[in-house]
Amino acid sequence: MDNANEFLLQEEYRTRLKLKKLPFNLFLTNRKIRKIISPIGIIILWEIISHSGQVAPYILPAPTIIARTLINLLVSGELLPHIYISLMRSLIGFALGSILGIILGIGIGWSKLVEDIVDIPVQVLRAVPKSALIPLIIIWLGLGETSKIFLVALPGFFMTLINTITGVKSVDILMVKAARSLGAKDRQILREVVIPTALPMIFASFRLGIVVSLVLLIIAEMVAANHGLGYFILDSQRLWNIDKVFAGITVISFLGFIFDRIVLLMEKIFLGWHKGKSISGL
Amino acid sequence: MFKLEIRKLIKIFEDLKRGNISVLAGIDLAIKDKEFISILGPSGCGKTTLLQIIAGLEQPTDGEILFQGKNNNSLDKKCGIVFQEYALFPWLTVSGNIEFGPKMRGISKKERKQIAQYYIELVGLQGFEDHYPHEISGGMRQRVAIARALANDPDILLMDEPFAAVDAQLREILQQELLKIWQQMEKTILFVTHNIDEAIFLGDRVAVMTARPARIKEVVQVDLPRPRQKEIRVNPEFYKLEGYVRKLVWEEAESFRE
Repeated sequence: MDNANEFLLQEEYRTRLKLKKLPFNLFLTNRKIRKIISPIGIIILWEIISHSGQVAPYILPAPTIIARTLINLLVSGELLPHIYISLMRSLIGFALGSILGIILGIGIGWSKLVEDIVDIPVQVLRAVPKSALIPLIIIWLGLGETSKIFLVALPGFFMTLINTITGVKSVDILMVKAARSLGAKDRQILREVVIPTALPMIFASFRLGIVVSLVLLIIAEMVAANHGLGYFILDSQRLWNIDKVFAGITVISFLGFIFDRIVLLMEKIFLGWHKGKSISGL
Repeated sequence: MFKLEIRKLIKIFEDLKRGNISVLAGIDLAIKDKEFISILGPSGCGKTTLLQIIAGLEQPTDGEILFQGKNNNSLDKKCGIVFQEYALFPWLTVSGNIEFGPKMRGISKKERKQIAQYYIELVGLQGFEDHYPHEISGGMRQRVAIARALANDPDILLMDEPFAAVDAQLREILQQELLKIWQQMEKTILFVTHNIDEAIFLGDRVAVMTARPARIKEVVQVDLPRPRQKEIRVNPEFYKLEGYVRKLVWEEAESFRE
């Protein structure tokens, strides 16, 4: 009886071992493989739908066609000036906005005086949907680069501002006392304790802000520009070049993705100590 | 002349809702140079407040603190503090934490590295220089906190229940190490604790505090030979002192209940 039981157990163990070797299982245990399952699946599905004849190609071009269009646009150089100008506007605008946001955020978080003076105007302005300001900004700053850079800077400014304030205010008073007992003066406490504490929050706001900044950039370029990816997308749509529309969307999404990666890389460099940990075992 | 003299120190926390809370009701204590003094008191009696006032992190309501005979109630007298919760900077490595004080004083990077290395060896943390606080154990964190305070070359080292969070065995090891460091560095140490055994084992004298509002109830001389090893704990002399101090503490616990 015991022997029989043991035999069954061994048999079960063998089956389990075999299961582990099945390709499907390998799929789910290898993290690199399981990460690309859904993106590849979606693209294949899209390709099938586009070729099924149920949807007209000018409504939903197949991924392969979009890829070909995109490569042609890049090789011919038609898209490059648009990418360049959008890249510049977003980088300069976001950098200016976030730097100002960090500076004012530290001021508000650090000093009650600064907070009391600027808090209400800042909160009121923050509540305004930034896209609603586009017509006004164009009148004030013209159709040139200044208005676009300003519009891109706005969300960067408010996002980093709010997170910097929260970050600065979350400083542990014990850390400040420890630093003071080690001889740190106010300015040193700001640089060596307050800013390191706020840094994770500031980086989080970069990741959120850059996405919203790109939204503003595209809208502004669609409304009032004759260069840039927003202009390119709208122009292609007017000429019914839906594959070009998709190519433009692909490029702008890719830019957003690259920006996010750059922020993550910076986070790794500056916040090596602040590691995110996985909660579940999988 | 005393290294540190505390005269009639009073601290009242103003609280509009619950009325004023009197924490320290006239603390008198004089500490000699290179002395190791244990301050023993029940939880919540104001020990931490006392240390923070001595360090200049809190202002007293009244009273004086004389440092080497001079009235100097500021941070300039350079008190190193070892906090109960370690209070290490999580964004700095072990050596970064230890270098913090010298860095604030504008000491060059090269010299800072040497200082850090010296104290890392003193507390036995070789090989952990580049670890972050969350990557090391509680006992190691406490050693980093001690090294960080010492690296700033303080005139007085204030320790606020530094071993409260470690287990009993490790606690005895850390006490032994602390005594070794104290003898080597020749520092004046104020060591706050609620543990009677610890207060006697470490101190030249044990200052027993009353319940809140706190005063110094009695200062007990500890005439046990140095250097002290763990065996001293089974010495009859140690028992006698422990019994005596314990009765003082009981009196306070009872008066607190009444």
